Amino acid sequence: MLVNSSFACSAHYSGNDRLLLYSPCPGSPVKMLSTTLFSLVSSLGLAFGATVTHDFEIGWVKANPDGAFERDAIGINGKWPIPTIEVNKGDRLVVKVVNKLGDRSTSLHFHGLFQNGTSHMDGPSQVTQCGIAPGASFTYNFTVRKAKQGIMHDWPSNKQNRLISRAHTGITLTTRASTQTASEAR
Amino acid sequence: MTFSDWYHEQMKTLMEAFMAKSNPTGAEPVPDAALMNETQNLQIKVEPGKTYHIRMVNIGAFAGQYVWFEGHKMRIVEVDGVYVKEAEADVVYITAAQRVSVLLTTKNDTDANFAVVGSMDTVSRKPVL
Repeated sequence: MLVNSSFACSAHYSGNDRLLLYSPCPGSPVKMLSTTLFSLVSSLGLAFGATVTHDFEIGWVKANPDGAFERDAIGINGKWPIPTIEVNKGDRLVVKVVNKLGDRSTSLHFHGLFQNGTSHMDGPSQVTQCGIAPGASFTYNFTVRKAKQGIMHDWPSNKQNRLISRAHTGITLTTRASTQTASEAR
Repeated sequence: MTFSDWYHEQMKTLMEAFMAKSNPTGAEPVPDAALMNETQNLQIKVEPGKTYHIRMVNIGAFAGQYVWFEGHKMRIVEVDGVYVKEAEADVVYITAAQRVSVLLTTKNDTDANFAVVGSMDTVSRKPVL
């Protein structure tokens, strides 16, 4: 049995009316955002959501998270774990992806997010889009709705690789959202 | 918090072994490590007697993980992006790509550290015959 244990508890609190897209950072809790502005923005409703823009260069980096073996991993902007995205429900998310892998196509799939009306932005290669060829770029652009948590991960074009590669290769990103309180859901 | 499996080999290498006729039962490759927030021996400071909303996600490729906070119970309030009626639990099982939020109230006790455990599921990786 593989066990990864850490001491003391976690401290990721993220308000009730914010949506966070984040990637894990070793040894540190998810960075908190100023809630004031976001609360104000989200209270104005969907039409007034902010636009959150990111430029992602996807390329090979070295990673050795268990200290046992260094390997190539798919990173963003030269880093793994990948950078953090934080958005509110109702925001427009714009991610310009450039494939710098050199040896394979890629895409970003936004797992767990609703894509009503924007299914062409959902990301799975050969399902809703062609894989982004080496050297090519693709811009994801959609309004974040409803999701509380999700994952963004790469979606290899190769069907067999897809079976077990998924988030594992390192393009992972989690979406956290909530404009709904727990009591509303009951 | 993120939980993940980690392989030392590239997927191409793993897939060749996985799909080979020398693996007739379809036994999946076993991860080399388990990660929490993409690292190991993670330490997170908390205050005593405070309730934390912990959003957990299994960003692994394949393996599920049992997660628990030693000496503490947790209250599940969200599963896969949907808030749910609160349910108390000692341990949650998070499969790959699943998300779970819990409320965790820390003890009024600063005498000890408490382990957060992500225990990778080894049972469900047995070959299917």
